[in-house]
Amino acid sequence: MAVIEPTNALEQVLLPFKGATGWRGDFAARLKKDGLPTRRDEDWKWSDVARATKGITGAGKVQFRSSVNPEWTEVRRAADQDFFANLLAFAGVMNVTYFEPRNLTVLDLDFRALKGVSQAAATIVGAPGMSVRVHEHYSSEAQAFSAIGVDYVVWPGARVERVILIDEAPESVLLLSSGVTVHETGEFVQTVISQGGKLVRHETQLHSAGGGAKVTLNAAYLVGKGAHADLTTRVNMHGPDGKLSQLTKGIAYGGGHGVFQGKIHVKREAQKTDARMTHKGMIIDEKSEIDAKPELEIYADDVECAHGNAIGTLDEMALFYMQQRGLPESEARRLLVESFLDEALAEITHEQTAATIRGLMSKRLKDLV
Amino acid sequence: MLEIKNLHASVGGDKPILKGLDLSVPKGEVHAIMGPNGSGKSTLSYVLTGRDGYEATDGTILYDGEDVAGMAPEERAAKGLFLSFQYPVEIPGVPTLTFMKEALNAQRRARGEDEMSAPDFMKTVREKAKLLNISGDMLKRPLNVGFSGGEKKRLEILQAAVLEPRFLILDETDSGLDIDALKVVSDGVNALRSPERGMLVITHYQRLLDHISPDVVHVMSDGKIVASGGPELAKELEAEGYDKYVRAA
Ligand SMILES: Nc1ncnc2c1ncn2[C@@H]1O[C@H](COP(=O)(O)OP(=O)(O)O)[C@@H](O)[C@H]1O
Ligand SMILES: [Mg+2]
Repeated sequence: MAVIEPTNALEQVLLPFKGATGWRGDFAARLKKDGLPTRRDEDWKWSDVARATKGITGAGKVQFRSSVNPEWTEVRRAADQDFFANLLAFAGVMNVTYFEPRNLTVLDLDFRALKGVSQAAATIVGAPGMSVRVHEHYSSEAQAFSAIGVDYVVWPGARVERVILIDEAPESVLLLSSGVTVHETGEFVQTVISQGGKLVRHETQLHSAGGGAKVTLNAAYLVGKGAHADLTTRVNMHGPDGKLSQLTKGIAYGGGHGVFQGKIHVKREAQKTDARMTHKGMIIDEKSEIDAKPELEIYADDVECAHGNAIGTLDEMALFYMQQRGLPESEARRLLVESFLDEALAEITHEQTAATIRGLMSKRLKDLV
Repeated sequence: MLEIKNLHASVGGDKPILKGLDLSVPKGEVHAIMGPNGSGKSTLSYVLTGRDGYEATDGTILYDGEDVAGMAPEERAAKGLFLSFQYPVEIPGVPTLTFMKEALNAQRRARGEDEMSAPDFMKTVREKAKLLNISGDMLKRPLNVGFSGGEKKRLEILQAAVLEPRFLILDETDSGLDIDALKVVSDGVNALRSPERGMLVITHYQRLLDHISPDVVHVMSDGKIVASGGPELAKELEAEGYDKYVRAA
């Protein structure tokens, strides 16, 4: 039986890798000093949270259930239902749900944000030598602004596969942050699917100890009219022989806005790091926008690191070819877009989950043309 | 079956490419168009099939007595117009079989026919693929991705065989083929000849026409048909080149 109880275990859990997840503390300190981030803040320049959340007020709730406990449970923090508190929650949360799914191989987590402002947090631990698959699903009512922090610790020899499906209501804002610590010989495979939402930011702050640790970070975003998806990652390679493979693909249409910010930081000790980061975006029409900033900061000299970034449009010749064979334009577009995004879903091992996700994406794409 | 009168078309905004082209292909006949590079042969194929940006600026195209102007490419396809592309397009992530099935059933739906069942479809494709030396493995791969020039052309003909169009336009289907592949492809094309079907075979060389004997050969130069004749015209072009017609145009 997994442990599901609010504890203050976060600090404890992170002790063995001290300083690694200090970003939450840093962010909180900065918030306290400088106030809310604005678009002048380099990390938030393409995602204007203040503007997106205007008009969302009142105490909200994050409800939560899991495959272990299928009842909806409230995980809202009681006080401070304001914007500032919410960003603090994003940065370092009090209300922690702690999972150590020792006897589980699959864990389904469902987060649902109700109208208003709310926060929640959880920590999930992949125990040494264990293999666990976690599916997280985020949804919301309209007019919800929630900040949720979910942290992972992957112990030596553990393998954690994490699938995050964000399927937000059009008038809602979600700030989801993930602090991930991967120890030597641990493996962490993450796939984020982000669609819908007035503004959704998924931020991954990952620390890899190296020593054979393997990390895969994949993501697909699809933003239509009025939607904004921000995928931000910062990966810190601390020790030698770490591997990172990162692929983000996304499409923007009907006035949607996609953002990718990826930074890989390789410490001097992290020799023989093998890190690859690719972002490919597709802009369907002139109303839509994709901004991307991939960065490498490398302090070790014997590494293999590469990044690529390509933003294109729908291949008109391919579209015509498919139409010539009889496919209606809308169907041809959808097929092209789906097959474009599909590459980012390749690491989802559970067929049923992958199929469900493809179905939800198809549904979203109905309004593509 | 296909009646083109005084066709004018421009591409890239205002560059005139077709300059008063007349052509008539009756049902059951195979016509060849030969012409030097840049004379507008591919442009004609795109105008006929409705590619965006390739609209006629003057003249008419009647297909089965119907004006195709304003018809979407998929509408023309459902009415049986098929273009074998000079450069078949690579579609990453879409398996060849899946694509063919979607295309066939989309056409059937558009015509108000029942969709073909998966087993029937597989059976049809398997039979026809065999004749064209196309392996099952190839059909599982993404459409045209990483296929050789010859494989792409064979796959175009397979698609024609499965979709059973009523009028085929073959744009340089012989280019990039070695002798053996040329034979396979021509056999595939000949198998599609029928009294109910028209064909327009665009080619640069005589060699394809040795295998597919056309009823009529047209010479195209600078956006117009400048000469028409029997198969002997192709032989003459092979021997003497296009100089005479290019100068005349
Ligand atoms: N999309 C385009 N934009 C501008 N010019 C084009 C375009 N497509 C074709 N052309 C021009 O039109 C002319 C005819 O081309 P094309 O129809 O491909 O000839 P062919 O198939 O007979 O070799 C050429 O001069 C070519 O450069
Ligand atoms: Mg051509």
